[in-house]
Formats: sequence, structure tokens, C-alpha cells
Amino acid sequence: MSSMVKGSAGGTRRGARNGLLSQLRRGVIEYCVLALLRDEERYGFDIVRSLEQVDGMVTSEGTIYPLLARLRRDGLVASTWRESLSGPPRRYYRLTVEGRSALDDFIVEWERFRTAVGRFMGEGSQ
Amino acid sequence: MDTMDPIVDKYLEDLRRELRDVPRSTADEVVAEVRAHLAEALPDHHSEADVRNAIDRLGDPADIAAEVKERSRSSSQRPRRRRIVAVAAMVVAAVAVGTFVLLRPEPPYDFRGAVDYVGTTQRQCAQLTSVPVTAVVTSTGEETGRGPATFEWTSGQCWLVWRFQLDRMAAYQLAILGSSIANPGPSFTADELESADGQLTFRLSQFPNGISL
Repeated sequence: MSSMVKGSAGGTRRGARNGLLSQLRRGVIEYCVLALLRDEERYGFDIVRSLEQVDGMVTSEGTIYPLLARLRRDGLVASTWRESLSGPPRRYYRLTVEGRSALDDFIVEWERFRTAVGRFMGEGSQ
Repeated sequence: MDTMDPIVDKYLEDLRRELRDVPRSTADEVVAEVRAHLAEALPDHHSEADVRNAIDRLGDPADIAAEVKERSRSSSQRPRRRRIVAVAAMVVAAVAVGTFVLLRPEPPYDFRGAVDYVGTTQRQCAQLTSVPVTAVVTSTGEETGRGPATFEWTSGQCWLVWRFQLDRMAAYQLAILGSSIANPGPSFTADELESADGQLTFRLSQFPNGISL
């Protein structure tokens, strides 16, 4: 009985941690995608792979495509289909002027936010 | 949608079914991207395990559909915010332009002045009126205003009179251009006078409106 309670508490904590990560990711993932497109255009699979290489950024690869579709509809990225030498045509995404502006704004706000939170976390560890 | 791989086909059909509530164009876009993703992810000679692993990484079609719906909601809010900001910006711009038009000085800067050609007779002054004369105002070498100047006989004296508008108030030098007044020999009450190549330059002590020479 004791071990069952212990296990349940651990599961709840893991769930809370996953939920927290999910919330954090949801807030920043679109800007990570915009940042990936800052210097070059990329196709969807390439974007997913780049995000995936960073721990915690992607849980389900498929959820990146709705994000890309939304960024395109919002005019933050533009896309072009191109033939590929190694398979089916690829949709290449590139940053628009509006997307670049949104990314620049985020970078400023992120730095401010990160600094602010860091102060509290630093105080907590002392 | 047929990819010749029954597992992939089934996955794409499930995704399409989950996306039945979202706009067709969005559903088509997402399905096309997922299909392209699988084509990229799977090696040419893939096994069933390769396919299942690739699909596992993509995630449950229901989760993808939920993401589409969630992103669509946040997307529908964003353009509305942008429209509101755009309308607000247009209103502010219209008010700013209106305020500028209503409050700007009109005319910009009225530039008036006169020089008394002491000793000039009325007859001589009358002869001078046929001479084309231009008054030019400069500031640090840059022309800021230009207009005609005319000789007038007023109150028993001959005056060179000008009146025109300036673009800005920073100017302080006045040049009188006229071929026949290269050597007029008058006396002036201006601060200084320079003469070169038929051009007289008056350095003004006060400027403009209510100009004092």
C-alpha cells in the first residue's frame, strides 16, 4: 500500500513536470521555428529534425506541421514547393518581413523575461 | 493519398478523419506535410518497424488534429489584433496629419524687407524698376528662399523691396541679384554688406517676420 502511494505521487510529479514543459514549449516553439528560418529557408522535415536535436523541444513530430501551417496563414513565413532530388517535392519555408519583425520583438522580450525569472531563481538557490 | 504502404495509408486516413472539423485547405496542407515527412523519414527499403517508428514519432493523429484546432484558434485571434492595431494606427495617423494641416504656420514664413537707396532720385528709381532683381536668402551656404525684389519710390526715397516666403527660419543672409546694381553706391542700415561679381549680400540682424535691417 505504501509503495502504491509513493508511485502515484511520483507519477503526478512527472505529469506536472511534463505539463510544465509542454506549457513552456508551447509559448516559445513558434519563435524557435522562426529563428531556424532566420538565415536560410528550410523544408518541414528539416525543421522538425533540427528541433528534435534539442532535448525537450519536440514531443510529437507531427505537431510541428500545424504550427507551420498557422505561421504561414499568419504571414510570418512564406513557402514554396520545390522538387527534390531524393524524393517527393518539398515545401520550403522562409521568413517574411513580418516574421523577422516578430522574431526580433521576441528576442528582446525573451531576454527581459529570462533575466527577470533568473533573478528569482537565483534568489531561491541562495 | 495512396502511398502503397498500408500502414502509412491508414495513418493518413486517420489523420484526415480527425481533421474533418477544420477547414479543408488547412487539413490538406497538414496531411500533405505529414505525407512528405514520412517520405523523407523512411529509407527507400524500409521495414514495417521503420514505418511504425516513424509514425510513433509523428504522434497520434488526434494529437495533431488537436494541435491544428488549437493553433487555428490562436491564429484567428492574431489577425483580429493586427486589424485593430492597424485601424488604430490609421486613426492616429489621420489625427496627426489633420493636426499638422490645421496648426502649421500659414504661410510658412513671410519674408519682407526693404533697402533705402539714399541719394537716388525719383527719376533714377523709376528707371531701376525695370531692372529684374532677385532676392536670395541663404543659410550656411544653402539657399532657403528666393523671390523677386522691386525698386519703389516711397516717402521721398528709393527702396528695394522684397516679399516672399521662406521654407524655414534658419536663414540669415540675403543676396540681391541684379545686373544693373553691381555698383549702386547706396548706404545701408544692414549689419554688413558684401559685394562680389554683381551680387550684394546683406547680413541681417533679425530674421524673418519683422525683419530689421
